[in-house]
Amino acid sequence: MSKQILIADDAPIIRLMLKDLITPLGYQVIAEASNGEEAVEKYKEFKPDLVTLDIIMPQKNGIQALAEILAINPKAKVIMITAIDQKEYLTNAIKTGASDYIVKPFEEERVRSVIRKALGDL
Amino acid sequence: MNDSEQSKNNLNKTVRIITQMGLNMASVLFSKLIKTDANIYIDKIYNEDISIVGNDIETNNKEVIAAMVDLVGDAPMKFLFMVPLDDALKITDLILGKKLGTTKNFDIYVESSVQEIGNIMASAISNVFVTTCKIKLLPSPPVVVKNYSSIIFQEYTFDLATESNEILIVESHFDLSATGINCILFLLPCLESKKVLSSIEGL
Amino acid sequence: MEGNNNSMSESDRREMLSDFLIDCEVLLKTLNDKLLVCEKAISSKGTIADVDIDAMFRAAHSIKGAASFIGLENIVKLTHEMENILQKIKNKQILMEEKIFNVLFKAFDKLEALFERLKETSFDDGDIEQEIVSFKNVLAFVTESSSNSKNKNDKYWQQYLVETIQNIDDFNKELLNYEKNKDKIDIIDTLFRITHTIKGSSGLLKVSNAHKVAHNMENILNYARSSGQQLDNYWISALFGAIDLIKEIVMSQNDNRPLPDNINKVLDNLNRLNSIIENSNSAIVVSNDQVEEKIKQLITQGNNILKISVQLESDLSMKSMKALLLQEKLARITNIHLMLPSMEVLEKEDFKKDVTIIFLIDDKNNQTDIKEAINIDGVTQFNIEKQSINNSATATATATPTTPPASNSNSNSNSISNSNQHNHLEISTIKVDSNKIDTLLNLSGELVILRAKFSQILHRLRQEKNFDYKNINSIINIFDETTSSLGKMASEIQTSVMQTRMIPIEGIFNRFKRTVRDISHELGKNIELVTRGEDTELDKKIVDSLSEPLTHMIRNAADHGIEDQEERKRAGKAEQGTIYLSASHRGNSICIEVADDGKGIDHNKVLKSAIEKGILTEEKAQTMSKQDILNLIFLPGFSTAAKVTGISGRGVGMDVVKNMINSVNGIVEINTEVGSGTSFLLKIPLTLAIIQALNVIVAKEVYSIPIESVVEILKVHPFDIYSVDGNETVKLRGHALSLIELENVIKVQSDENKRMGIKNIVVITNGQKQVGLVIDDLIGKDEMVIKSLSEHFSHVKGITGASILGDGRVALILDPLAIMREI
Repeated sequence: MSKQILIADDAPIIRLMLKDLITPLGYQVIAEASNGEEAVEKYKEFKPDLVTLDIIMPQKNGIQALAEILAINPKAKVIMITAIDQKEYLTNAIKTGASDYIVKPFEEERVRSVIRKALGDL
Repeated sequence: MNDSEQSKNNLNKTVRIITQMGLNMASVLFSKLIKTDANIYIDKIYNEDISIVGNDIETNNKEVIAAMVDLVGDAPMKFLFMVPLDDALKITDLILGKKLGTTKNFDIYVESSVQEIGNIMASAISNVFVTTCKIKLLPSPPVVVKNYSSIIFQEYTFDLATESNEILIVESHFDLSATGINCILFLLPCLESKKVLSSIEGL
Repeated sequence: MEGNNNSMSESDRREMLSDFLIDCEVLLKTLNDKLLVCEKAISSKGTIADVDIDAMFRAAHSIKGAASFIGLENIVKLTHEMENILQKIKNKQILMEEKIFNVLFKAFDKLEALFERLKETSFDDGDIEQEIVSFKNVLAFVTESSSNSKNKNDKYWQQYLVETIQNIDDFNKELLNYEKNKDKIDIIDTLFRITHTIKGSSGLLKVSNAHKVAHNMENILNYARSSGQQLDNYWISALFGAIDLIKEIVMSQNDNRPLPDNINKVLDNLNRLNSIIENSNSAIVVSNDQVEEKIKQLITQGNNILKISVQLESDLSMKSMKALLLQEKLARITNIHLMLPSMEVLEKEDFKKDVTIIFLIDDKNNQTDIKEAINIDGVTQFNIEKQSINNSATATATATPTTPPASNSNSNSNSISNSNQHNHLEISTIKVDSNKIDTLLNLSGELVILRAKFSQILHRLRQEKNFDYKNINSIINIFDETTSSLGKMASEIQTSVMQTRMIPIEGIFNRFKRTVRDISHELGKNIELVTRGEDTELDKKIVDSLSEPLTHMIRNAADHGIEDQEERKRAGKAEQGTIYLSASHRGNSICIEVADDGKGIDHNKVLKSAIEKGILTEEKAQTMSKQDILNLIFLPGFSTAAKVTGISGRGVGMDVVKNMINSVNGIVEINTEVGSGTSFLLKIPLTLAIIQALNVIVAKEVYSIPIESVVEILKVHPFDIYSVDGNETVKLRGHALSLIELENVIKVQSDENKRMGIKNIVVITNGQKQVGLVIDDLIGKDEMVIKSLSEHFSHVKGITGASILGDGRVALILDPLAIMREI
């Protein structure tokens, strides 16, 4: 069975782009969330192998969602999606326990590399 | 040249230099996003009566999608990105790597494209201000609207207009040569920021 | 001029040839002789006279001309090349160094061979291809010597020389500092700045070799600067070697001599280091030392250590974020003891090249987890290694860049072979504090005013009609006053001018720091040089003269005085030996002390050695005090060193040192204690022109005794004087003090009325011995301006000069050292 991924971002286009990048790799996008609250709920529901979280989201931002997901599963693999000037948030996320990060705008090759390495497939 | 004119010039110069640096960064990131080369150059820096500024927009009034971002921090500013509706559709196609003309209607993807553009570019500009001027500045989440440009512009400059007759505003045009897409970007420092920016040395 | 082989008849040709051969015989001989002169000059490192070069040039030129007339192509070609090179040497475009000489000599041999052939066959057959090629080759690699900037008297050259030497000294000082304080990263900036300056000015003055080396150094320093990491000892040694090389290049160009032979080796090594930097994919100079030290430390504390190297992609943006991620992930599964480069360094710059990060962590047997933690996006390679105490510096192929091998290869490839290297530098230019010049300017201004006053007086004298007593007196008074002012001013100006010649001793003290560092490394000892009184100022000439003897004493102290670490530990001393160097003013002299906390000098050994060498007899030995025995080391040919090391046992004994010091009218005293150390105290009069002296009267004449040599003044009762070996002696605090009458040394008018009563004695010393000089009267201490005696009197023993007292009397200045030699 292919590995399952949860994508959380408030911009539909980002979710679409990620999905378009992830699916050809053989993974399944099991669910999408558009805010932090939804992200945690869907995590509880689907227990995916990997989560991508946008750092800035309405209704609970990425950092908080990250903390809660790690509380549910300390070994959860969470990739943060960040913009270039969000270094402080990113530092915070890293210290909280993020597995890796992707910088917007995406470089396709890098996105693939991050996801595959995080899932242990590279 | 008297003092106030001199300081106006300095301010303009400061804003021009840093903003261009920010726009350079923004254009790099924008290019990455739409996978097409884009050049963003500063058209004008107004430091005058608000009515003059709004004139051009009035004359070229059209339906646009806009992303407004408030940059919060030591030198608060407002960022506005406007793209004509048709061009917004084209940009969405570019971002998704689809053939031009694929996206036909204004949907959530078009909306979030503009949102992300606003996000990414405001971040870039903010980043440059932070590193060169050593100030604190962070963008808040963008607000995306679909409306006529003059209306949007009025709303954009509304707060500041109530504070003073003169505003400092940067107007930039995009040059996406291959696709003929036109966008416009504004950067509007708030009143307090003028002081902060004027005191930046070493440029 | 017409005439070629074809149109000449055979007999004409033969006649021309015969004339040619006769003419060229002389020219060839000239060439031969002058080439031999050059050979000698090159091997003795001397210079070649312009006239000799010129003679060779003209000879070659003449041969060429005559040969072309006859059509002897080979000879023409060969002499053309010779002429070409000789012309370049003549015009000072290049130097006649060994390489060039060899080519010329070989060419000359070939020329002679051609002439032989010519005699035999009347044709100059021969293959000159090789010689022609070697001419071209040597010109490509030759030492440049462009005419304009090299001229020693060129004003730009002087300035460049002074500035560059200063920069080199500063560089040495800073690098020594960095060597002891590697955490002070800003020193790298300073070093870079200095190197950059040297590079710039060398480029301007077309000292291209120096420019190249400075450029190399800049690369290394820039590399270190941008990575913020510490340079380990290998790189530091390389930098020391490089700055020495620059000094050698500049000085040899100044003295118009060729560079030492191993310069190419050193240059090659520098280039190699540079290419390591350029080709290495890492932006960081891996300081293996730091890592290895930490590993050793941790393992000794009982930890099991893994060393992880992670290489980050060059294009990766926000590398510090990636590093933070790695750090956090590792910290969750183990303990991190060390991370290099540190987070501060990574945050400082966004490196465009690959970066390798090294972690030292506890081995918790969880290598799979570790792999998972560090195998993230942006990591191109990683390596995990168990560390044990036997692991030497690892240069794993995967992650770390190759660092050059550690110290052993140091000495040869890094250092210049010129033994004269560091300290013996005499530049004729001096840097003067502008304040001193201002003082002089002020004084000279006042002098003008004084002159005006004299003019006034003269004017008044001319105008005055009534020369009565009152008027004359008043004029006399003014005149007196003004003259007195003039005297004071003259004195001040003289002092002021001499002040400008004073430079702080700091310059050579700093160079000695470098000397001690180098010697420590060479001998494998741990020695530190501690200095005091660096800002003591002395006349430049004295500083220059002291440089060599001090160097020798310091080397001695390091070589023979300070024991090696093992011995010191056994003796309960600190492992680090110290050499103390201090300078201070005392009266009008300078006191310089060179001391060490080494093993001291055993006077018994000295005594034994002296007897063995036949310098002393056993009997004489019995009567000597410890101090007397120690002073034996100042005798020529004395060396108790068990083995002659390359450093100080070069045959420059303490006697030479003593002579050097005596030559600036100084004296040297020795103090030592076995097991504790040795101290040499030098006392040197401050200036050569003005001395503080004790003025005395002997036989109605005034004599000045330089104060350095005066120990004390006594009054002695005739009863206390007794005779030993025909010499008058008194007992002074338990020691015997010989007395001498000046008339026994210099021909003085003997005073008929020999003093019967109490005698005045001035005790003088040469640093080792003391003697009592009998005088008639004491005048007192005074400052005397020495006027040297003319040639006729320069060989009068015991007198070094004369001076004029205030009352116009002549005072002869005694030379206590010479006086004491007489007894």
